[in-house]
Amino acid sequence: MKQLNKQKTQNYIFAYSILIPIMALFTIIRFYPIISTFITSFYKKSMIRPGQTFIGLENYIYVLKDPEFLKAFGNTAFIAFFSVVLSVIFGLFLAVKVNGKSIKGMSIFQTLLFLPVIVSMVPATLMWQLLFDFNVGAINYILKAMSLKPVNWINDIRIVRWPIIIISVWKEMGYNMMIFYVGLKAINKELYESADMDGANGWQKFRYITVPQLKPVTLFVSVISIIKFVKVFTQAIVLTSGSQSAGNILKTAVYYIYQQGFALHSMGRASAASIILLVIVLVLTWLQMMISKEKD
Amino acid sequence: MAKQLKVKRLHASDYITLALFFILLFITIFPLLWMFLTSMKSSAEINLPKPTFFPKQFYGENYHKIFTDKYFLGYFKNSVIVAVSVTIIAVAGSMLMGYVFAKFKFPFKSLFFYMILLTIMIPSESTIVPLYTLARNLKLLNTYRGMMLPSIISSFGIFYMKQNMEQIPDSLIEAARIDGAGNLYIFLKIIVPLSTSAMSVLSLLLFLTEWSAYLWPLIMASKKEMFLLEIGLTYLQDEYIIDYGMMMAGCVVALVPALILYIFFRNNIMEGVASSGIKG
Repeated sequence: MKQLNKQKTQNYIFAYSILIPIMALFTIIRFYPIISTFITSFYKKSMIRPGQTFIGLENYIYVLKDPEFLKAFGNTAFIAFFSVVLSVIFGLFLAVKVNGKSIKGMSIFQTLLFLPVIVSMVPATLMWQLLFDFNVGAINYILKAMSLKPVNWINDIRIVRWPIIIISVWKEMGYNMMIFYVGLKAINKELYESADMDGANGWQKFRYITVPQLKPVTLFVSVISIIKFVKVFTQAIVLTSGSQSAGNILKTAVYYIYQQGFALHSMGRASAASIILLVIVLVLTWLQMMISKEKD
Repeated sequence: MAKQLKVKRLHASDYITLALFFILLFITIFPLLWMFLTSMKSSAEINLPKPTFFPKQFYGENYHKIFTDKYFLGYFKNSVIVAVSVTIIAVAGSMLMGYVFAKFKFPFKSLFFYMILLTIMIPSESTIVPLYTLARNLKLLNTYRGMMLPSIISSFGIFYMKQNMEQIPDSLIEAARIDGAGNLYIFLKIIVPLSTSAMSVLSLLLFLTEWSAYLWPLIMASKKEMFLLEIGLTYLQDEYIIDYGMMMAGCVVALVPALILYIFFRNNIMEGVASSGIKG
């Protein structure tokens, strides 16, 4: 009995001697920053000057009325919507193809299709910048060869959202393919076998077995993708802040936070925008968890 | 007759989907190939009105320019130091915490665990302002420690290690305890060797994530010699003209570490990425 108690004490000491320093780190770099963001969002506070004044909801009112903010969130919603829809549809399509046995050597194709996931965003964006270049880009060359007018992909602030969507889909497609692929493997094969006996064709099997069976996975993938693209930043800033863009940076939600905080030095407004972003992500995460629960 | 018709129709749709498949495959691969080929072309060749596919003549000058650039190798070194350190620290922390959460009972255990899980949902982008002022007050701007700061603990890593270590049978631990082994000894001699697969998956994932980090390193470094590769690459653009050849050479070099890891640990990376779905 005494031995057992001694062991128990030792275990407590061991567990807490690991837990306490790491929880302290969590407090410093995770809990404190989020609480601080929340509190700062109610203050007028500068990044470079000391001192702060409580102003209630004024930062939120300013941000929500700021046309720049609305533009940034509009851009984000536009990019997120098309990136998610396209990367989910293509991801599902590729997973079905890779899972089927119609082509030999499918694992090589799968390896190649997954490759963009490990390519980091900056090289990916610069690589596409070359393809979208107005003068020397391969895409405009093809358009010219088809006697179409070359498009000012990067310089035109309304058009540049499409290259950003293409880069995002390029990078996300293979990831979604993997999740769908795992989902497809989990579908009971007997369903297809009995459909074969009933004489169903490929499309019918896809429509009446694959799609309903994959519904939870599809919702899951969609929500993960939305959360990712709500935070879209790197591809937009890298593509539009270079020398080809004539200074028309395409602003996204995260860019707005960055700009308010680090260019305009307004910690209060940056914090208010951060909290709005956080709430959006939390709502989406909650949605994802509801879906996951249903999935199990 | 009817059957014949159906077979025919099936074939037509098969060709269409097959064509779409190869178009998507082409879109996936072509930009990477183009980047690689462009990195071996001279500016004159890149600026030709009619682009060439293969370089007319191998032009190594781009790589020479990259490797003799005043800063580029420094960017590379900085990225390696930060990504490797973060990976080692975060994996070690995740394993210790995973062990504690998987194999110990202590007061407030689930409270601590849910607090950690909660932080997975917080987008790091929404905490950059206070983290920046914190780093500034601690005099960590333009330092490796500053760049590593937000990533040295991984909530996902702790969760992932806990899930994996729960699979290790308690009887192994009990047996070692009877032989008089302490908790740390059990961790090093039993838990770690049995978790190597999960450890490598997590290491690869954290390394790749850190290697591609952009926003935080951008905020942390204002001195060019402290830039990480991701930031440095964007500075290869000149203010007026872009030397695409040199830029693509830089991108190729930046991709090499991830590519090597992918070639050797493809399955681990795929598994890690698929299971990190919850991370978002």
